[in-house]
Amino acid sequence: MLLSRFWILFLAVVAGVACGAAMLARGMVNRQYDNDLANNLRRDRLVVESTLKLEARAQIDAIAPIAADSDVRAALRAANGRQNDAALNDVSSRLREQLRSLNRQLEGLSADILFAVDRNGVIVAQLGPYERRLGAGLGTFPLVARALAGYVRDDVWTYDTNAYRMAARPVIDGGQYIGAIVHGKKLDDNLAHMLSDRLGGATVGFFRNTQPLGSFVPTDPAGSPSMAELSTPLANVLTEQKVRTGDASDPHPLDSGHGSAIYSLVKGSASALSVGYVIGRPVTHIAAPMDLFSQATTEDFATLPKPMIIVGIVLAFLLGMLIMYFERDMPLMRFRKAVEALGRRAVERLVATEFNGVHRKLAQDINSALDKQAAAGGGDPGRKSVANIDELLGPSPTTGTQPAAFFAFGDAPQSLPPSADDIPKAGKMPPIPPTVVPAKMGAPPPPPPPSAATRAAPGKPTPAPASPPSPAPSPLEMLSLPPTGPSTAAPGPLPTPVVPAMAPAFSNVPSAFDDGDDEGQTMIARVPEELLAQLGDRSSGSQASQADAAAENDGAMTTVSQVKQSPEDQHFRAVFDEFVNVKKQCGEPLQGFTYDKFVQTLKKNKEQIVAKHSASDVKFTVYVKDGKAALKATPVKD
Amino acid sequence: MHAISKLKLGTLLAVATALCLLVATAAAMDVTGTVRVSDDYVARARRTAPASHAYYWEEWNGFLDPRPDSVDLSREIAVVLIGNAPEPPDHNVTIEWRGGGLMPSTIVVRPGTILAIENHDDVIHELSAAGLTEVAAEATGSGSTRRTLALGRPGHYALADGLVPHATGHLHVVPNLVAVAKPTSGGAFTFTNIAAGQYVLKIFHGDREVTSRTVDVVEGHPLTVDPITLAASSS
Repeated sequence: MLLSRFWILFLAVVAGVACGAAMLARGMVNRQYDNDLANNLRRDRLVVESTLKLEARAQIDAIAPIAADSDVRAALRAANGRQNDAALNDVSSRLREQLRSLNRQLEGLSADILFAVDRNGVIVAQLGPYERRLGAGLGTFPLVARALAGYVRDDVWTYDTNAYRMAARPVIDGGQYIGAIVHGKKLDDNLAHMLSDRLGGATVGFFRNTQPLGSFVPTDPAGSPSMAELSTPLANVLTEQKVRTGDASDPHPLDSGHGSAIYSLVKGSASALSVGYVIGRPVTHIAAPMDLFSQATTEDFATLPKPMIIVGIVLAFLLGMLIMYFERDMPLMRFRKAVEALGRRAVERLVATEFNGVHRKLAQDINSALDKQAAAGGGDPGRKSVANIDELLGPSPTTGTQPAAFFAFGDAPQSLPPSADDIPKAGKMPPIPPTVVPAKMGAPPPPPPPSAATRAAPGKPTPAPASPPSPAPSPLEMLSLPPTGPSTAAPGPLPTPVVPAMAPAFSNVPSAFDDGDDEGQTMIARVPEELLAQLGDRSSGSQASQADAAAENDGAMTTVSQVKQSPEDQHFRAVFDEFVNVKKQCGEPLQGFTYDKFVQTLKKNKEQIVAKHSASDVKFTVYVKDGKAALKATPVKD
Repeated sequence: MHAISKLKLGTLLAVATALCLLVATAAAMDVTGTVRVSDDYVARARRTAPASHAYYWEEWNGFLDPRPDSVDLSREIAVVLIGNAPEPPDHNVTIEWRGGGLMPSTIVVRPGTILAIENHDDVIHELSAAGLTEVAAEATGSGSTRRTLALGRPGHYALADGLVPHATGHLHVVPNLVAVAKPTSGGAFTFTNIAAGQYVLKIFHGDREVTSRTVDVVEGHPLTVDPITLAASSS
């Protein structure tokens, strides 16, 4: 499940990173939005300046026809030649009507206030406020003074409590400057509306000091700041040096938190009176990370690489499923099949080494339960089980010649394999009984095996299928004979396991082979198939085998020390003799226990141990375990 | 008898007073002169004038050559006489808001003068003088509204309009001020009824005294001062 854990960890990290990224993105987006908003406001200010400049030029050009009008020129010529101000009355009346007519022709650029002044700057005629008042002068106004000197110019005035965009143009007649036309349009809501439209939806307002003169608040976008909001910081803004010197302020976040605004004074005389304009835009900060998605537009979604995202999701899903299959489903399936095979009695035990992790633990527990159940069933001698030599031997030693494992020949109750819980941990081993007896050549023959009646324990609750009082089974039979019928000791879906005849003496296993780790350290191999097949054959014809074994036993017992043998055979013979001797000493029966079968088993075990541990040889020793004879196999390395 | 004596005494005093006045009038002379400005003076004056407020466009009209820059002598120049002669009894001076600005914009008065301000413009003006509490900011409405101020301490004070930015002026409070002449647009000026004696003729332009010279007024001889030309180098 390592990959699964890594995958889950990866997904958790990805999810955490995604959440963190969303939270980071919120701050980043808000900051970027503020920057963009500030830049937009600066751009807006440039647009407003450009627009006002173009409007000023349009005003200057618009009054050219008025300045060139013959009636206007004639009236101004007459005004310049007047003897006293009272003579202005008649001229003024005629000129005012002419100005009114010409002003109407300007349409969109028609003036809110319009003056015609003589060469000294005295008002001859006026449209707008104070139309009837005559004789006042404008000659010292820089705009008018420059117009009377021959220049066209623009300015911004405060006049009659309003602010006006002004433009002036000289009136020329007879090669002389005889006066000027001064044209003014208010800084009012209409101009603010026009500028707001030009900016694409920004609040635009005009102010004089802290008093608003006109404004326009667009409805799109929603939440555009009002003029009242924009006017709040004016008192502080107007003290800024940048603003006083004619530059625009830095974008100011509004106190209401709903937007930002940029402030600037107008270009013209009125800037000295703190006449200026403000541009405001709403700010829409992202309050929560999920609000990021609410900011996305259909265009944003359209630009998403959907196929790539879908493929990524599918790949991630498939990868997860693949990992789950390999690490959960497949082992589970294998375990299920193994359990099914156990249920069909195709196998006697689960091979724990075939499984990993919890399945291995389960297999070990199942095996342990089977063994305990069999033990509780009375140790029917007829119920033999397969002994997996590798399971018995444990892991390979890493150096030199070390005791590899212990196993015992005998009846099932004497040599049940311990469950994982029964295995003592390293450092907590009980002392090894000092009863190991080295194998000796020429050991006395074993006594005759006890009768079947002595082996059959009367009163056992679940005797296996009646074991006939046949000759003693061969070692293989003792190791591997499965029960031929259902066991009453193990009702249920699981088959009644055969009690293993050869089980490890785990209590004597050195700590090097039993470190308490149930996963990975204990190397247990599958029981060789030929051995299982042989056992199967044995189980089917146990009667005959037992008879043969009994027949062989007699001869074997008398000839073991008479034949010249190889060192291996000598070792096997010595071990056999010692084993028989110890069994006798322990009062164990020897029926069917023949040398040939014993050696055959030892050889097979030796082959497996040599192959498993890359050992050059295997030495077997006999010892007593729990009052029973047992064998210990020790791989010998070069 | 006693009544007749009183009548004779009154008549005698009247005659004596008339004689005295006659002598005094016969001793007062007019002082005239002309002030001109050179081109470099005009150029320098325009450079040192308060910066014109910003604008988007200012360009020649393209048809008729523009007028050259000039100094409005009648508005911007003040010619005064300073001496030890007895101060005239009239301590009242009237200035005007006219044409959008102060007329005159260079004002010279002696301490104790009562300054009256009349507004002849369409717009409201709000005159104030920095550092002179007597001229605190106060609006003067359009249509010849009058405002009077009492000036005490000698010195120069800049005048500003809180409502019409370009309308600025300069107030000079000068001790021993004998007379103030109002030049015409051509620069001619006249001091009338100046008692014989030695005086200093000074010309103020804006915040500065640009020139001065000594004049001797001789009884029975009207004085015409040589033309005074203001040049950048001489001022």
